[in-house]
Amino acid sequence: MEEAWLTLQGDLNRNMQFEQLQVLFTASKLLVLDREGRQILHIPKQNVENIRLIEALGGGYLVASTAKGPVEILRFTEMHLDSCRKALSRVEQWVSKDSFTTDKRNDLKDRNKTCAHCGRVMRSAKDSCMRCNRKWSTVSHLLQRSRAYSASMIVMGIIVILTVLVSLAPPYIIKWIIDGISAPVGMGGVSSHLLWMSGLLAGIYILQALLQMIEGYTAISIGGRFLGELRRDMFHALMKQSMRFFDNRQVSQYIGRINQDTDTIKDFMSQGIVHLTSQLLSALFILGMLFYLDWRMTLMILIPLPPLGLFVMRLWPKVREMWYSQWQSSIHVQNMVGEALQGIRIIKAFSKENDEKERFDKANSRFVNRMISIQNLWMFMTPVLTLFISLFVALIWFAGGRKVLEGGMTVGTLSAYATYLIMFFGPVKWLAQSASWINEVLGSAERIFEVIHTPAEVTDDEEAQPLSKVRGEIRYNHVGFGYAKDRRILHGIDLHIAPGEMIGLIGPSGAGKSTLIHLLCRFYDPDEGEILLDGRRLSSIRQEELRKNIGVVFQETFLFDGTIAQNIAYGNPEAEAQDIIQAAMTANAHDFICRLPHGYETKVGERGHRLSGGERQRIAIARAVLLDPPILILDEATSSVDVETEAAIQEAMDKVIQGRTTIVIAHRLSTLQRADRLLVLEGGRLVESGSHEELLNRGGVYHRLLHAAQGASGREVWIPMQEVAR
Amino acid sequence: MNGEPVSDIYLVLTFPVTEPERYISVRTASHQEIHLIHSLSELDISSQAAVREDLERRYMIPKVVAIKMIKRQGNHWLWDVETSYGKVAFRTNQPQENIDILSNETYIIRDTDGRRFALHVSRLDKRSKLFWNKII
Ligand SMILES: Nc1ncnc2c1ncn2[C@@H]1O[C@H](COP(=O)(O)OP(=O)(O)OP(=O)(O)O)[C@@H](O)[C@H]1O
Ligand SMILES: [Mg+2]
Repeated sequence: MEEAWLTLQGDLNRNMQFEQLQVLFTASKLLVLDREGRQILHIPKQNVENIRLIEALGGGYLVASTAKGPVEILRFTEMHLDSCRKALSRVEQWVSKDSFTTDKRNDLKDRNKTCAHCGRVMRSAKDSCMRCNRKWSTVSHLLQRSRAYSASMIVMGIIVILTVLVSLAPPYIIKWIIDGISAPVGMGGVSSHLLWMSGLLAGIYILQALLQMIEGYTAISIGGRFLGELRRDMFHALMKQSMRFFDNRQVSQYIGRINQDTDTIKDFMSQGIVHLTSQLLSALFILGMLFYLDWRMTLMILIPLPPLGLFVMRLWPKVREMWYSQWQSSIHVQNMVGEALQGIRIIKAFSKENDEKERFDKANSRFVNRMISIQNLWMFMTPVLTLFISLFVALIWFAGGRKVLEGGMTVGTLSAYATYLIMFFGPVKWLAQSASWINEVLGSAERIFEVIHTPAEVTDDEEAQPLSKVRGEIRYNHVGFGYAKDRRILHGIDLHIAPGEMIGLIGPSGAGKSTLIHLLCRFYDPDEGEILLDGRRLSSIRQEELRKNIGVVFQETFLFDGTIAQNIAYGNPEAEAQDIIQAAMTANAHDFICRLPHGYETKVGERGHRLSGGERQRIAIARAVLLDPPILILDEATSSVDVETEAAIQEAMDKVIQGRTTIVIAHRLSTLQRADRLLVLEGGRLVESGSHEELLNRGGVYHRLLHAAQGASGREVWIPMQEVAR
Repeated sequence: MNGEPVSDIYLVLTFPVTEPERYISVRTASHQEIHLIHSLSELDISSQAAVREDLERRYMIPKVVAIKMIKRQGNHWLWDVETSYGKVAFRTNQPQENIDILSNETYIIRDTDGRRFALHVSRLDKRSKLFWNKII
């Protein structure tokens, strides 16, 4: 049989049921095989006229056109869509060429990435490896982190052991005292013995107090440092992430992760570990003592331990789940508060306060219920355990008492034994209960490490070279891109922009204009093709350096909560007041700033909400100007401002663009007339290019867009294109 | 469909998951809406069948009808479910981020392979609901 040069996977059969299917393409035919490898369809190549990919929501079909009509050859869900898309051009070649060179580079198949940690094959590129994400890896990450504190940890360990040992002594000394008093020996001997023993007891108590103080101190310092470093690493990890990370997530939950989750871990690292080890050690030491005092009775006591352990193990996954859902509802509450406060204007405008309150109350009570149910689970454990222990103590008094009566044991030993027994069950009880706590901590740690260990999606080449003086030549080579797999936004963009050129980019709303810019800033990497700056691939330039050379004014202006001056100087914090004013003047912002009582020191409020839309825009322009970049990108806001402000912004832009490569996503006629060249983007494709006059005369898409705009508004202002789109 | 015959049209479900049989936009190849079908029941039986068949091809979103198991493994959740497309097992990341709420009772689950599954809570059996309530 001929070898297949391409295999494509499908996962749905004709009846729309999940089934693993595959098509094999060989030099002379195509075959469809079912799960067991049986051939269910077979088409010789000469019968195939073409092969099309039909995309649906959530999947697609491969359909072969034959003389007898279309034949569906493969049906699949989303997961196989991408590999089929990528294979399509080669399949087309195969159909059209008589002698197809069957090169077997399987680069068309999904490349199977392997996990960097364990080397196992991962199922999809974005996915993190499952095996490496187990509970143990979380524990080992925690341990690795604590290595940095090994000195403090060792001190801690010694203190813990000492504390445990010291706490063991009193019952034994009391045994000596009791045995001393109750033994019929000469009076003088007893009283000096008593004095010594009581003195020793007091000394031990003092030592215990001291040790506890040192322990507490060390614990707090370890926990504090740990907390600081975790938060730092987490924030750094967030800053490192690419845009897609934020696109796909509820960003406000990370506020919770940084605050609460790290706090949980801090508590554990400072108190939890100490408690855990000291309780474990105590349990072991006490058990030793119990055996030493009377091994037969001790064996009896141990009988209930295995079932208790089993019980805790059984509960473990359930507890884990409960903690997760508790966390989830707490995040929900938090998101709700964040969203409601951000949207407070809308809420008030639609007088939705009561609905929001109701929504909040619902989420909040859900959170409370979940918290209560976790607490309840352990609430019932405590009395049960206590009862258990008390019963055993009663039993010991009975069994031990009889031994004393029979003379097999002294009264002191019995009292010590009973005390140790109670002490022994202390840690056991604590350990059983701490199952809940440990689960909470593991959950938190997992969420933290998930962020810290998620690699950035957009990465620089390892041998990325420094960028010398940028001339500003930009080239797009057959660039294709989509934010999500199921929707392509840009198709086959070929574009060359000469240094110093001013490009006007226009097209209907949603055509992909801003997206084109996002790719140039490397917020995302293209799925297909490449982008070059001064002849160098973008990925061979370090991202920070690239962005230092590109000044962007986005469609939605974002200002940080600070003064106007700080916002203008954001890209260039060393800028002098002089430069800031100069930049503001260029951006036509100086005048309105002067009218503010606090001038450049006016606080703009969160996201700049204390300024008007037009004011915000001009500050954003000033910010880009101050950076003095060789490449400038202006994404004009579609929202219309008054004519005067618009003129001011327009004038600002004119001053700014001189001597730089400029791309303006234009919504205003005046901008279009000024551009060296206009590019028309429609449906993610570049459909026209040329000067304003050329394009007008051509009477194509540009003409249509412009005509409709002018007809609608009468004045020479570009109106938002949404209305003109189709 | 509308008295005069129109060729080369396509159908768009405006609410693909919550209203799979209503508010169907009929568009020409140049994306112009020529009609909005408010409900499939407006049409005669044979057209209904034709529309359903076409929609079934355009919208491949399996519906979860029963949840056999949801298990957590590290940062992943393993699902074993019965869907309108048959039995399937898949994996999701944090449910928090990968379950979209469309309404009080309709949800979309996105798995790590980018597949989407619709879920109508009221159509689940008791056991499935138990699993579901733990997750959401
Ligand atoms: N982060 C994102 N995730 C997914 N899809 C997105 C994202 N940003 C934009 N899109 C989609 O990509 C398409 C192109 O968006 P883009 O912002 O490039 O449009 P545009 O041409 O700038 O439109 P406008 O003139 O309205 O600004 C839009 O249909 C939008 O729905
Ligand atoms: Mg835009």
